[in-house]
Amino acid sequence: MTMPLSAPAVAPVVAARTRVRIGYLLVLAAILAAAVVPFLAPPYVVQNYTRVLIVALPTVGLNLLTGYGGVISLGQSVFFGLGAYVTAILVADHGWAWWQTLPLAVALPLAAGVLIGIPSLRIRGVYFAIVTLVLAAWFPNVIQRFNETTGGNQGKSLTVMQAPGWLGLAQDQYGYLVSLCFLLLVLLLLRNLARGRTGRALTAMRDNEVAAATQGVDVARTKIYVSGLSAAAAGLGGCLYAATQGIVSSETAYFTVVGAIEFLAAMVIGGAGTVLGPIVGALVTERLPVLLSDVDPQLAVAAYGVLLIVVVRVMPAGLVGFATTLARRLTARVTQHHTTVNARNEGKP
Amino acid sequence: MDPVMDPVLEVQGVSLSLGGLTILDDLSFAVGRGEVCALIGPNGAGKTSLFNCVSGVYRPSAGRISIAGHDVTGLKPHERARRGVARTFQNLGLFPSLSVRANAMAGAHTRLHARLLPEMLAAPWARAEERALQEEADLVLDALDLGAVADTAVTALPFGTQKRVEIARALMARPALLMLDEPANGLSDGEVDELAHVVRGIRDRYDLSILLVEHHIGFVTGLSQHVVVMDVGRQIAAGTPAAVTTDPNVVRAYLGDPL
Ligand SMILES: Nc1ncnc2c1ncn2[C@@H]1O[C@H](COP(=O)(O)OP(=O)(O)OP(=O)(O)O)[C@@H](O)[C@H]1O
Ligand SMILES: [Mg+2]
Repeated sequence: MTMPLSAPAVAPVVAARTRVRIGYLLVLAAILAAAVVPFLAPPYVVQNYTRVLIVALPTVGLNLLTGYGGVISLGQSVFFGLGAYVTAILVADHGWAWWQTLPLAVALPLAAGVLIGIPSLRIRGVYFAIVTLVLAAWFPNVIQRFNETTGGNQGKSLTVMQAPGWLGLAQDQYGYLVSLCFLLLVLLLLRNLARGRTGRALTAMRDNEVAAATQGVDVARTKIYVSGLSAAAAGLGGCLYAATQGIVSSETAYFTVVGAIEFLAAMVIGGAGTVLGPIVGALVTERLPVLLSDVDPQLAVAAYGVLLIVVVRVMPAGLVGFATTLARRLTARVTQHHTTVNARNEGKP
Repeated sequence: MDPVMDPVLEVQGVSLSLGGLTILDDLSFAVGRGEVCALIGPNGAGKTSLFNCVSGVYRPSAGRISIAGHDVTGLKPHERARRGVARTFQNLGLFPSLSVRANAMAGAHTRLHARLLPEMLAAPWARAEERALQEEADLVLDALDLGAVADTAVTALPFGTQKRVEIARALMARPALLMLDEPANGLSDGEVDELAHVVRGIRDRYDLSILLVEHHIGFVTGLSQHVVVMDVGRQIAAGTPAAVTTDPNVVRAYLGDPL
């Protein structure tokens, strides 16, 4: 049979290995850089970066469901809000420590994600997107409706997480580092998931649902599970939000449709279906408006919109996807250069 | 028609209507273990529709489909995959975002034991299972002459090569029944002969029963023990390749006048 490919098999393998090693080094460097931020930046900047880490959590979850699985959800704000209110209510009214609320703040959104998924993900098409959008629009009203428990639009205050004395950390530094640890943990779990059987099944479903089903992928069940996981990540983000910001209300943008759209935008800008995309996306959507509004608030909104359009038009795989392609081309060229140089040097004494 | 002993696939009185049209009309035949059975007929005869009924993509309006003696008529596609049904698609059903190797590995979905929690925690046995699967995929790709393109994006390959990737993916399921929908489509004559050789090889090596749809009549007669001829949803003949190709009904409806 004709083999249309003439490229030598060795060069790509070398390039792939170099790429993996460079990739690990970059990630390590990024983690180190992220870890020193709270010791270098002033507290209000640290707090802003804490929100970047927290916004990344629902985005990471959404990326699994939408980026990998192709299921569009507009309801991450609801699960984020659920997690936030579980923590706020238990800490403020029932005297729990914030970390004691963690299991519940994750489990409740997880259950909600599964329950909403069961009827709406069995049906194909945009049904789930519509159901989650309706929930996202409705959620602030629910907070209002139960204002005796939730504080409604007046908000509910809670004591923020405090660093244990022996650590010698300020409150903003501690909140940042705790959020960073949880984000890294979630990233690690989801990356593991993405590179195995489930990750393949999700991508397969997104690419061709019928073909995925004929390979044995239970499409409805997979979507329902992943909807739960995605909601759980958002719930964790909500818990950390409440525990670091100290106030939640029905006016909090992250609990409204605005939040749901921000999470979606962060995923698209960073790179849907890439492991690190959500982090980069959260960095852009949280930091860029702050940086630009120092210059001109109008400019911030405009630049944000322009950026979104440019990314969607020019970089379908987002900033991370774009950078990966670029890096791949570069390493391919470098290794190719090396192999030619080596080949030329062979045979010389 | 002779009763087939120990059938892997049994199609009994299957009819299908879509949008008020009768696509399949009371179709009955069987594929025996280790056999290559070909399904031929003019365009629009309903061959692909029958594939869709067997793999569970379409639900027949009447009749029964059994795999290895078990009635699967009411089962969903993924449940039939678990029972050993694998197929290729006439117009490709690959996963464009996945590499050739990952596409092949996707075919083994039902054979893996790792689930959400062990995967997230990177349990050593789940990682080992994944590595073993990768090695197995590389073997299957080599067997189909695809080893050199294992890391390539499937969309970068020509149509005929993509069809072979689909065969590799279907083989990775270790199916009891392999259904090939026009595997020789778009190949040159020399390539068709080579593909016949490959299919014969994998049938013996993987102990397969094959249901084959193909317009390339030389390919069909060279490979199959049994041929079922369809026209507008009905079965018009069945038998050995020699008997069927000389049947006046078949010549009139499909093969045309002998040159
Ligand atoms: N989903 C559908 N809805 C309506 N009609 C359909 C559908 N699928 C197939 N058909 C019709 O069923 C008939 C049989 O189509 P099918 O694709 O099964 O034929 P085929 O024998 O595979 O033909 P070919 O050799 O061209 O692949 C055609 O008339 C086709 O238009
Ligand atoms: Mg067809």
